[in-house]
Amino acid sequence: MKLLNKTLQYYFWLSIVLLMVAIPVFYFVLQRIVISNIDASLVASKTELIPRLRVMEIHPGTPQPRLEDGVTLEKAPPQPGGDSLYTTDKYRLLTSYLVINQETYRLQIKSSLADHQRLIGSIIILQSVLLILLLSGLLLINQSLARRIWKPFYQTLRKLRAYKVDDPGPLQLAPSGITEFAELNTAVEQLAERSRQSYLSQKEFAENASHELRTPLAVFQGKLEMLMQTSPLSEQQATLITELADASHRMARLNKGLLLLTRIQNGQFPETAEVSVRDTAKHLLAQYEPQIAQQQLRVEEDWLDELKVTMSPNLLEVLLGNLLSNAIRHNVAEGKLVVKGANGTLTISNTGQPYPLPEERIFQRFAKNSKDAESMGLGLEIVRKICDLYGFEVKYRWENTLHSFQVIMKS
Amino acid sequence: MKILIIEDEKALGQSIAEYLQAESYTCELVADKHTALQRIESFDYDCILLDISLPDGNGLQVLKALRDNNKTDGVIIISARDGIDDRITGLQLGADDYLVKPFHLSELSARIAAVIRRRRFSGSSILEAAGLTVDTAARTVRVGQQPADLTRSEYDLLLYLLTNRNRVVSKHAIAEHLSGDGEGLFDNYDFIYAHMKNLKKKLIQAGWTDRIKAVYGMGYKLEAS
Repeated sequence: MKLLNKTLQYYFWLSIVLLMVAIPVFYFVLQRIVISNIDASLVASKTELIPRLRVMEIHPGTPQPRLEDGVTLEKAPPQPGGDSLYTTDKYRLLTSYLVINQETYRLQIKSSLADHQRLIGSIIILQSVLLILLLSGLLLINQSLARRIWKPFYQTLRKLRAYKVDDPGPLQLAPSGITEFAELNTAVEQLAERSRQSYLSQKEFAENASHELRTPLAVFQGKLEMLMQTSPLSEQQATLITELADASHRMARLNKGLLLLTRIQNGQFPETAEVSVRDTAKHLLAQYEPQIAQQQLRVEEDWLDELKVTMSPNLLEVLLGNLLSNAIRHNVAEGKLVVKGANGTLTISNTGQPYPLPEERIFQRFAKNSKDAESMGLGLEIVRKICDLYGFEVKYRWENTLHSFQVIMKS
Repeated sequence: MKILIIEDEKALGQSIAEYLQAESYTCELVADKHTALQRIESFDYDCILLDISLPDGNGLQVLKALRDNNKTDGVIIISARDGIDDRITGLQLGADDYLVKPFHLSELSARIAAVIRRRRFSGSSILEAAGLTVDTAARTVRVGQQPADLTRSEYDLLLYLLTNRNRVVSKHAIAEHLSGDGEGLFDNYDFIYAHMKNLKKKLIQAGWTDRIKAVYGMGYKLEAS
């Protein structure tokens, strides 16, 4: 739930409770006030009537003075006690007993409550409408205000979400006049900058280390070749030298892969051209012909789409080279290699291990999946990085005993 | 033939010099820019191997000095940097080739031979060794007068072994040389055996005595004498 809605929810419930309590309380208070008012006016009427009734006492036999509506004067048996006030169905009634010429009269003055009830009703309705309007107005204002106040927060959030540690520039957030948000932005910017710096230095380290390694590697490889020229050379020595040469070859290849990765991440392949995936694939397949022939693979090509893409021709060659050589290297003897281009998608499928590869691990650096101890573990990572660079999507599928790598280049 | 090796890593420079001396090249080894500039001013070389990162400056300045003086010595840059920019800068300044460390000495030797062949004016594109006559311009091979019809890979393989004759050439070096850009993508060297078998068969059919020896699975050696 959004923070805004959370606070609004509390306001809302408070308003409902307030309305529920306030309206009845208001109603009762108003009624009491009205009744005490009526009572006062009834008593006042009585006080006003009494002198007129006294006339009957001074001049016995005089007929009863005319009385207003709602006032009755009747003879009654003597009653103790004073005035009483009560409410009947629609009236407020004042009953008083007077003794005039030794006779007891009951004086009743009544006042209609209907008018007052209507008044109270209207007042309550008016009041409720006013309250509801006030509260909903407050809620609306609060919401729009909060929305405006939280805007920098959401902007920060949006920028953070889009931020990648390998972005070229530092993270820059819009300044905010609100202290908390300004502090948040500063903290976030500092955090992003620290991560970026450590990423940069790590990248630089990887690049420098790879470069620095090359000279000793060259020395090692050179000395090995000189060692090969020594004579006499026993078979035992030759085997040792061959194993060293294999290791040196692997080191050189790893080094090359690492540097290529850093270079892709550094965006050092800016030159682009419109290149045909089909032509490049055909060219590479021709180049790999010896290896394909060696394993007696059956190559099937199916090009519905030439797949013209705008990218670095070098990287396209690396991308296809890695995928194709993987498909050849991890194949089985007399296996199958299918290269398909259709609907902006390149699919390279091959026979191989009779079980699917762990999809979540294969694109990771140094994830080895085969018994082939020499797989360098960088090939697919390089593939993914190239795809990331150009916004391609790369997917792995295991279907009908075929391992398929799909590169969606255009959608 | 004189070769100047400008390389600050002594151990590497020595390996190169030793390897090339077996090929009747005369090698001089210098380790800094200053000495290198003096040498190129006083002497002419058939080929200069130039490391770019030198302790007292950029090796490209040596290349620039050379070209400013209108010297036509062949230059091969050997560098730890393999960025496309580095290559282009080197080649634009007039280097004949660019080799990235680590490299195989046999590959370096082949590149030197190619540079020297290209720079030679006298049109002698004929290489005669081990009873074979190779025309590097026409890319043809003869055994005596008998031509041998080789495929491109077989020709490349033969020329590679010939330029590195009397030395063991490792299978890694051959694989990388033959697969060019796709080097190192495969760990399978079986395809070399196939090429080698076909090459030998064709040469023997043309009347050649086989002088290519496999050295314990380590590599091959063409014995010229």
